[in-house]
Amino acid sequence: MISSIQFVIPELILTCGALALLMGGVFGLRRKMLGFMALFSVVMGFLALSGTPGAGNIVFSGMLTNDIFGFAMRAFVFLAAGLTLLMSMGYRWPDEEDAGEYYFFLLAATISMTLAVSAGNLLMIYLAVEALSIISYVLACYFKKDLYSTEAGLKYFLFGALSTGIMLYGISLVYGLAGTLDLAGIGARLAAGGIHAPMLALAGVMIFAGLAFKASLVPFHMWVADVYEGAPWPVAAFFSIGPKALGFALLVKVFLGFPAFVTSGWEGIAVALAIATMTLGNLAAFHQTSVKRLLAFSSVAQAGYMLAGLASGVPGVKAAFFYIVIYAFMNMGAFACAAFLSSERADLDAFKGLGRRAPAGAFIFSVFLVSLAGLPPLAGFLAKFFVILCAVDARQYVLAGAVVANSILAFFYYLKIIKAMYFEETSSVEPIKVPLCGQMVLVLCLLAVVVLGLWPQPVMNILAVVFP
Amino acid sequence: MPHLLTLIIFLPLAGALAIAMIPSRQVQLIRTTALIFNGAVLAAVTLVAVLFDRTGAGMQFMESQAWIPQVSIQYSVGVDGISLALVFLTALLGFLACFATTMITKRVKEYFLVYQVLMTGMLGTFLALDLVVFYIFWETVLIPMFFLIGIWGGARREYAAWKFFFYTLAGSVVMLLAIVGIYFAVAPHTFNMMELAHTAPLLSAGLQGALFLMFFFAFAVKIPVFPFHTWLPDAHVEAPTPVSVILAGVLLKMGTYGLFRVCVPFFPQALMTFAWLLGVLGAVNLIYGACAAFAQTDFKKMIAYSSVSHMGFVLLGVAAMNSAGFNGSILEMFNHGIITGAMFLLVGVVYERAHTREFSAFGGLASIMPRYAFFLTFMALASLGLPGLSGFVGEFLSLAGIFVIFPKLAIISAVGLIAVVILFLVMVRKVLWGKPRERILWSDMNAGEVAVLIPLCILTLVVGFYPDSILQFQQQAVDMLVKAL
Repeated sequence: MISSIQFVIPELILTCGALALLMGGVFGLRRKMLGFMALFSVVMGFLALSGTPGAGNIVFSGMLTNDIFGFAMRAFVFLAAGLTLLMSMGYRWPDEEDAGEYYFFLLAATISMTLAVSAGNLLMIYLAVEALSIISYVLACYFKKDLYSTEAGLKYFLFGALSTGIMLYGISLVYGLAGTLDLAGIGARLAAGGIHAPMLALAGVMIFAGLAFKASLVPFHMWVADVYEGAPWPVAAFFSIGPKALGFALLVKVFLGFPAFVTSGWEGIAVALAIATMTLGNLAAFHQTSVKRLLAFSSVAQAGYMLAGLASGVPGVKAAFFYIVIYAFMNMGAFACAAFLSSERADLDAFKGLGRRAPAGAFIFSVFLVSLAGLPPLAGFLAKFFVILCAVDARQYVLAGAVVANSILAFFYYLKIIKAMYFEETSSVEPIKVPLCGQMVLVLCLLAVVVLGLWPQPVMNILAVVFP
Repeated sequence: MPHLLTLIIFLPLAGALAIAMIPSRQVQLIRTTALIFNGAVLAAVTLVAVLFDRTGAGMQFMESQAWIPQVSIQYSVGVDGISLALVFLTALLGFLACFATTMITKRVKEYFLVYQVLMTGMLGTFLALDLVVFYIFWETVLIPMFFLIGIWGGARREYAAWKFFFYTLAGSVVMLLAIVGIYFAVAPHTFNMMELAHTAPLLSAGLQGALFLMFFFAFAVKIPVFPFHTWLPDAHVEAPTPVSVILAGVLLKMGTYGLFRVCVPFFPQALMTFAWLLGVLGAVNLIYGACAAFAQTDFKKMIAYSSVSHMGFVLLGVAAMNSAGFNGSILEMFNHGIITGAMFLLVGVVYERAHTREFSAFGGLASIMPRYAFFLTFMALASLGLPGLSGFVGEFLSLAGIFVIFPKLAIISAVGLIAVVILFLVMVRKVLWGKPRERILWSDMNAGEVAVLIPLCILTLVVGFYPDSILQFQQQAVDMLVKAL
């Protein structure tokens, strides 16, 4: 048992760090220095997190819960933030943009995500998600003078405002039906029975829409390609792992936490959406010539595989989160490689001949792409394999077949990048250098993808504790 | 030697790491390193063959280590009479093709890097005893081969690389589904191939049939069985010579090996049901492959189609479901690897001199390249099944086996065999005989080219005169397989 204040020490550390960064930016600290400060506060926050293992008690009068799932997800959020920071520090930013602001928003986004995953109340979930959304709009249009970036921010805002509005409406319906917003209270009320089922289902769909927007599931994925394209590479990488994982964590919290929601056809909807998400994502990625848009649609398709796990019972949830952890490393790695080896909005032609100009970088990029495609012996294969295993175990044969069929489809466009790097030659032979922080994030992700592919036990053991 | 097989599988990978350390300018050092590592693999495999207990039917040199216990996946490897010949073939062709890699001049370091990864994938496929591990090695072969064809291939290399990749990928993902399916079908759930050989035959006939067909589809693409064969001519023709040798010599055998390792022992009932299908497909492969080869004007494409034809014998042997058929089938795999490997090397020899593979550019080579004429005639005779050379033994056993249960198919196939004979004789005529065209000043085969072919010729001769040299290794394993049916 720990007190409320003890529980939020990691978030407090991040808040102090964020404020210090904002001040540091004002007083003209160099970008590099600010980056180190941000990384330092994330590391300190992560260390402080180990002092708050999930004991199961509620804090802040039920607004937050100190459970093991929240604990694991908070750790994951810190990991995602750390990787994003490392990538940001290695990235070649244009000089005129303000670095302090950027790192401040990144830390603020981290705080809202850790609060969201440990929320014990629908209102808290809404507040945290809304905070994250607003920060994300700003991050998306970080290049203030760039038209694409502004467009990204505006589009993200319009879609986001709509979907969180719908979610809020759903939450209000739940309140009307259950008389409380406390997750445990709603659970008890649902178990007691006697709730108008169609209305409950409507509320469920509305909340689902809000969370599916964050997880970029079809049909709430429209924003993804445009926003990623306009946002700076590190921000796009962050969106593709942090908020997406958050969406899935909240889906688990809200939907699988309550059997009553589940009975109202959840699995059927999840299977249908999973198939739609992976298929549409892959088909859309197929014809992209911009590498960023291609990777954006690939991250939509990847969300489909994760949802396929969620749709396959309790072992499937484990498989989905195994997928999410592996995905975080391989997708971050792929985005980082693309960012360091090309420029914002580079198209496939820019990758020609990279096998010559940046042998190590091109090789590592290929590893991430092959892992995203799901080829053994890399971790991406095991992740997909577990999802298929669970789908078959849950007798979702169509779903398993769809995952398999989609992984063939996905190879086409992942290989297109590899082909450009190795098969095609360019006149330019000028070598490309990756800065040290960039090398660090690449090596970290590469190690994770290779080692977890051969030895997945560490992640599996953690998941066995989180989902007993 | 407790970890001999693991050593064999991962030695090529260690070679890749060693090559990665060498600066790309030192081409000769890279070549030598690759040669040393592949030589070491060959030596280790020979050691296994020497230590191999020929009276034992089961797995030998087994190693087992829990890998992902949550879903009972084990790293498990072992060798028996069926896989031993193919492992030896892989190591031998891997070494010789490495030795023959003289025409690769661009991006040499990358070439040998992916080549080494390919070696690990192939050796692992033949040695794995856990379906997931088998699948992983099976898939490991894909990407290196994609690069080898796509970067170092001929004019239409990209098209060929994509086609190869997606045909095989489509097959292997179906296999993945089948692997998951069989895991949940058997009790207790397992991926272990040794256990599955006992538990899978107990499954209901319908389930066996479905799983059999799924596995068969994956293997059929790789073998390749008509009508899934269209990737083969493109891939074989566009690949550089050493890669063609590996493709024809080893990669096709992964498919036929899968039939013996998975389809036959796991689904005996389904095999009985579908034996006619295998037999018919075998006969179609044999005759169609020969006819298609006959129509080619490209020397290499002709050899590629003749591979399709030879794979027909392997299928016929499996369909026979008796000792003669299985023995013939496995022996044919080995022989085809040796003979067709040599054939592709021989095509490479003239291609390097003529820079074309059109038959119209050749003719009369016997008078200017006598050594070449000897080797080509020798291998063509082996290929068409002249008694006394190795090709004959496997083909004869397969036909004898199939005659027992499908006599009509055997007769059709035997007639089809005539097409194969004509095919190779006409090829010899087109290339070697007649008047040499004007201004041809090609040198005869050099010492290196001869050195690569000598061991293959010796093996062809030895197996032809004394088939027991290979058969004695596989006899026990085949007997056990037949008994279990």
